[in-house]
Amino acid sequence: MPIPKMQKVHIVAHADHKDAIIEKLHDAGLVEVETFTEILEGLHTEDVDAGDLERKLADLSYGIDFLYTFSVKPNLLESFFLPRYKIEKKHYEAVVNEFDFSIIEEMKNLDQTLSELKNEETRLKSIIEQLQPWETLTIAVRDFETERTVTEVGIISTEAVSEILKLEYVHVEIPFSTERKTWMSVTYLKDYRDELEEIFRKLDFQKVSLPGGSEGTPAETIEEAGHQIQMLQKEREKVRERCMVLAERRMHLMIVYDHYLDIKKRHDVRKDFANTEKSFILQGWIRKEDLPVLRKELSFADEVDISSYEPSDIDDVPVGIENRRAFKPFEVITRIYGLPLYKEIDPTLLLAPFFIVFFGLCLSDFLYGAALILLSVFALKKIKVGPDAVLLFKVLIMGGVVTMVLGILTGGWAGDLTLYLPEQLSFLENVRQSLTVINLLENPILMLEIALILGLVQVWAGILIRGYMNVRDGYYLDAIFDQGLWLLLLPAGTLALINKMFGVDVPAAGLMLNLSLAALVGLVLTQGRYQKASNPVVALGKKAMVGVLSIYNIFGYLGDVLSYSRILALGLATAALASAFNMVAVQASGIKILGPIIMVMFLILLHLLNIVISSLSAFVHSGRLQFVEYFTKFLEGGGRTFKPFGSHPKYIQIKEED
Amino acid sequence: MFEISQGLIFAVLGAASAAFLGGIGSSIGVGIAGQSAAGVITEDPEKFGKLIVLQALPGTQGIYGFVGAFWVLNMTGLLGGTPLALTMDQGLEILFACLPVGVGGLLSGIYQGRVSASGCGVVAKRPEAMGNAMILSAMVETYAILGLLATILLLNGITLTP
Repeated sequence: MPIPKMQKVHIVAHADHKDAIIEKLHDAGLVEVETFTEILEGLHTEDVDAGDLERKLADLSYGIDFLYTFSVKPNLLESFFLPRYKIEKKHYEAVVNEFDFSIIEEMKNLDQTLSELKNEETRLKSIIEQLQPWETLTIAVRDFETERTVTEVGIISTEAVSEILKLEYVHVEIPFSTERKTWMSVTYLKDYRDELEEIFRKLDFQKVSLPGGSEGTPAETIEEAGHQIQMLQKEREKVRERCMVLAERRMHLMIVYDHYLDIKKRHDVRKDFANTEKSFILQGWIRKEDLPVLRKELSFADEVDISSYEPSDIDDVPVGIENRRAFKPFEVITRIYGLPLYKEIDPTLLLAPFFIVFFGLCLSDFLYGAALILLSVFALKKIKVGPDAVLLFKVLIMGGVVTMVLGILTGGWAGDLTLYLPEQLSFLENVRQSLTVINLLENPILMLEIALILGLVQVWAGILIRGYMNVRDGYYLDAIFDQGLWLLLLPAGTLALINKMFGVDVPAAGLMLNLSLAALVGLVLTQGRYQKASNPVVALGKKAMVGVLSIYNIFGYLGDVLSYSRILALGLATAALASAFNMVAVQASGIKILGPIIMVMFLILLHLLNIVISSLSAFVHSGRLQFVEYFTKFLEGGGRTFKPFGSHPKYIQIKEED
Repeated sequence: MFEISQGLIFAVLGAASAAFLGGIGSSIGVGIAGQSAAGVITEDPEKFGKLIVLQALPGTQGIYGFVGAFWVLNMTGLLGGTPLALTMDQGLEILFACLPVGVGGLLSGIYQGRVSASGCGVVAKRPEAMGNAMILSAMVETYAILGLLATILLLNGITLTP
């Protein structure tokens, strides 16, 4: 719950130890290095040129992207969770040693060849397309001009065709025509050229030159182009096959990428150091508890000095949250919101019980919970996912357990599936009925009340935590006035209100009313206490005003609590959808012979769909209740994540040898 | 044979409009988000898994509409095959009770689609901010959920005596 204490460290050492220290720090992964900021005489920073490394990384990442098209695609789940491939250290080292960058040159060539082949194919296809109307023309292009004759090809309006056909001294071919236009060739003796040019102009005969640069007939050109396209496609297939072969080594590229990424990190970190001629200093942050480890790691030489300091108020201290195993998965949810500030509190443990119960209530189905557990376990075992995704699935497994329990209590067994079971199993329906405490579909109001009570509890808890933080930091009066009074007002006021408005019997109704009035008066009197003005009358006026206006927060809290009604609505939506799906599937069983099979398939598919949709909603909305309704009571947020200098691979994870 | 009462016609109209208004809202919302997602995928096919979740978020309005419709069908006996004879008043009450989930779903679906579409842009540049994009989108959905809740509470309050 508390945020681990951080220390600022300065490490001063002889320049000879620089590489060794960087190596140690990188392997230990304990210190976040930041730029040394104090400007002192005689200190200089090292010029670091990482151009070569950057080129290598760019090449590798080009190769990884290029090969993606030719490699086996990760499945949908993997692509959602950014697959991380576990690599054994031996294999990693072997790959890095053997890697030859010429493979990337080859890829670039293949890439270029592919696009050239593609362009050529497109060009040929467009020639074929343009020649299509001329396909039946019998005159070869080489014969368009002979010693005494000329052949013109062009397009003319169909109406004018007869004008040309009338001429006696021409040979006309019409390979293609439509209602409006005619594609024709006109062959004539050169002697008639002037005469014909005149006629062409009058009839608007648009000459065209046949594309393709071939000397044969259009049909021949088309055939030849077709041949060429086939050849190109074969060649392209060959290139693609080569790419597929290379794609098997995509993993190698990823390994080498991560290798160079590490090298680059060790390289770049030098920029943050300050140097004298013979020594250097680096500045960073470390968890207080890790300090002895650091001292031990760096004790290999005498000329290394480590000094540590408590962070000061102006320091932007990085935040590294740390939770026990059982609650660690919930850090995923904390991280969605962002980390708390260093002086605040780690909300992970505080949100976990609420989140998991809300998640379970939104699904509240025994069988869905079981399915969620099975699916998550399957995903954990079968899919290579990154460390964050592992935590997420663990949250889903815990959510699944709560969903099962709440499902039994609310009578959700894939909705009302037990109603439709064959006779031998129909006892399950009795089991379901007898275990059901609240039926959502029949008694939504009761569930709404429960949801709102849970909301009130969480809002109250949020204020309580803020109060605790104030006490911890020594602001006792703030804790009493700003939180204590509300902590009193919220439950007392609620009880008094439902007693007065709905006539519900509550214990000590009179006392509750008096308590809430007292709290209200207290708020009016105290909430303006920080208002100041030079004129005492104005100051008093301001204090009174702010005090009275603070009562307005009641509506804020009211809105917060009403927001929890979504728990009921989502639970109802899951249950109603499940019942509807059961009904649809059972209808299908009436179909002859295949009926039962179709019904079972329908049931599986539809319920799977419902599980996916409803779990997504349950997760997102339970999360929202934490962030918007709960965190706002005690967290400011926006803390800077503690990112120790070390290995942060992008694609792979090195498996430790057992 | 039974005669279809006039009230029942309005109840059917209510159920139908809950389903189709929510459906329209979701169709538009999922459509808008899908266009943005497709744009990101052309550049970065590996993000498909994340984007499809963002695209699916505005799809819930259609489901809420369907749940509303299902509720009406269930309470009026249309599912069991022997519909109740509803009075005109009851029919109209059911129709009006369906409006929150229908109209709320229609509008919130469209706007949630827009937020999801912007979320696709967020994921394109910072895939680790996926959670934030989802929560922003879910903020809009709140009002569809409240619409569903209002509809169900209203329907629950209507007494049908056969």
